[in-house]
Amino acid sequence: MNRAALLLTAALIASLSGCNDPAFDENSQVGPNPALPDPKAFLLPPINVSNGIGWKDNQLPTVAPGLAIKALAINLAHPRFLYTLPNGDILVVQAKGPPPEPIKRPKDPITSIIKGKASSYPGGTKSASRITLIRDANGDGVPELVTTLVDKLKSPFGVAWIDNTLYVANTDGVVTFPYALGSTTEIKQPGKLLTPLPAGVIDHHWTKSLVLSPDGQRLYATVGSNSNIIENGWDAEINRASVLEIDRASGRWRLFATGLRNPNSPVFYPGTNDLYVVVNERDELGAHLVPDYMTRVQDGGFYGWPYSYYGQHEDPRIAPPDRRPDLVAKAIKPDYALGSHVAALGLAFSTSPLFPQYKGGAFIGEHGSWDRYSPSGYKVSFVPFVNGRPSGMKQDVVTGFRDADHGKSRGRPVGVAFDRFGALLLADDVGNRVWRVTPAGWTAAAPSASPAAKPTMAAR
Amino acid sequence: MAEEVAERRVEDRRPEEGRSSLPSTAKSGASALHRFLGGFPTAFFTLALITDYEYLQTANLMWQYFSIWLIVAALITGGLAVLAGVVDWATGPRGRRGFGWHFGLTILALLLGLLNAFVHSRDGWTAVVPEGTLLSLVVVILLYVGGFIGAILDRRPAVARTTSDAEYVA
Repeated sequence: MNRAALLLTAALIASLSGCNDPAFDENSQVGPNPALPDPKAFLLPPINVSNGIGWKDNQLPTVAPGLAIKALAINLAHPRFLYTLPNGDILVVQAKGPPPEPIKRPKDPITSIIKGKASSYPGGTKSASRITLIRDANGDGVPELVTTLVDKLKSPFGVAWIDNTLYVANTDGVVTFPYALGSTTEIKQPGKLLTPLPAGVIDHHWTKSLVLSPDGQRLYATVGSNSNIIENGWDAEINRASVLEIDRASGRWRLFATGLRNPNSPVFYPGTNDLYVVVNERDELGAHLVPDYMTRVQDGGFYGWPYSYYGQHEDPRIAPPDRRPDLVAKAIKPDYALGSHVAALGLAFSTSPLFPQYKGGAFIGEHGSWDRYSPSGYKVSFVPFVNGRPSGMKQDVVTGFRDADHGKSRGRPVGVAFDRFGALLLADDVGNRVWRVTPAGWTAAAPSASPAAKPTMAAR
Repeated sequence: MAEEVAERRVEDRRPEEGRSSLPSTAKSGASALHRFLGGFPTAFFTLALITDYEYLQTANLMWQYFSIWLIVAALITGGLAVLAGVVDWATGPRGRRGFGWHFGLTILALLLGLLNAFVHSRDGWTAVVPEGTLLSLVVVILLYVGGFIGAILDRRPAVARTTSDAEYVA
């Protein structure tokens, strides 16, 4: 009997400390037809978080051959999303997460402590919910102006500008601010609510992205699920895991697409009405399940969550009375798998004249994994497109965010965008920086001051 | 401190008996704590089995939350009961039969209970079905059998601990 207890203890310790993912061809989970191993049920799911350490002065991320990288701004407050205004001013959305969820299980406080250490570095600028405006009118990579444009927002993520109006997707709703380009360095009046978005006491995937339709009439807002896999109950998931279509004039909205677990950075493919989005898939089914993806979002489309993934692969964690074979049957298989747990949050299509080698393709900000032992993501990658559809292998563009020797992260990429000159910008929410990628040796040829740009503050 | 409290309880219960005839305070204190705490893990694990069953029946997440908290409560109180039990055994008289079985089954139950805490920390249906409920059932059976053996054999000591104890038991 005591031997049985001993064996059991040994088995328990072995199962808890086995810290290697099974050997796996990561490339088999990139592209339109990812390999999908069988789902696993763990005593303890694979966990490997890279606690933040920040960047030292001389450290830079690694870029693909022929490229150069430089920090455009440092000491930001958890920068997540980037948006270039028509006059060239760059908006950096920074966000402090919503208050912690109520504790429902003993697991909850433990996981939040573990993951929290990977979202900042000791001594770094504290996160704050604000939008900072960066002006680099001559394109030399040194801003003439860095100013807090809007402060005291509510965990914002998405932003869009049209008709002298700034739209900000707070976690609980889209708000508007009257704003003429270059008119002010600080918007003081509070925002006006256009459309409330699902938030509430539990606000698990809280980032709400925003994009304007090509005709400028509608906004598309992404709403992540309120759990990994319904562990907060079905009532918490109303109108979540979806893309909402919002009428810009009236604020009326409808569900545009559903079953997208945590969609972020919706973007229309340039010159088309095809709405693409990157989606974070579910955790705790295995180190190699389920791959995150990029997909074109169809009007009325259902993409599986929570019932199934990649089409008709049912999730065993849905209780039998809750299963919906009818919805599983119509679940759309996403277009392009990006790899398991890479945490794709940023998406931008390149029309930049600076990068002919990347023309028409997608740059993707991969925040990096926690639910596997061998980390994935922690980089900016590129997916080539042919005729407006993803085609070909994903490539690394910016890496070196993770200090593999020490298992720490210097930074973690989130939002990606292009500035007026075509340089690639990326938000680094652990390093608290905005990085700017250009061709090596490139300098802005004809520095043209934007018409409204009248620097009023010294560059930081 | 707990021993003192337990001693006073013993005194309250048997005011007519002389203090000098009692077993040592350490022994009776640990013994009392052992008996007192021992009930908690058994009750908590039993309730967890019931709430698992309710979750199976209803798929209502409330029952799943109940189960994991009950299992954690059972592990904490069970761990304390084992500590008290070990002191009880170390300071008590030699030759008490059944202690090995009681100890072994209890430890096995708590280890399986710990395993079950991890299983119950999964997300969704597989937190409870099938391993979770199965473990809950096995743990309860082990604890009941181990507890019963402990209780029965402890009441028939091979060697009477003291005269007064023997009288009290009789």
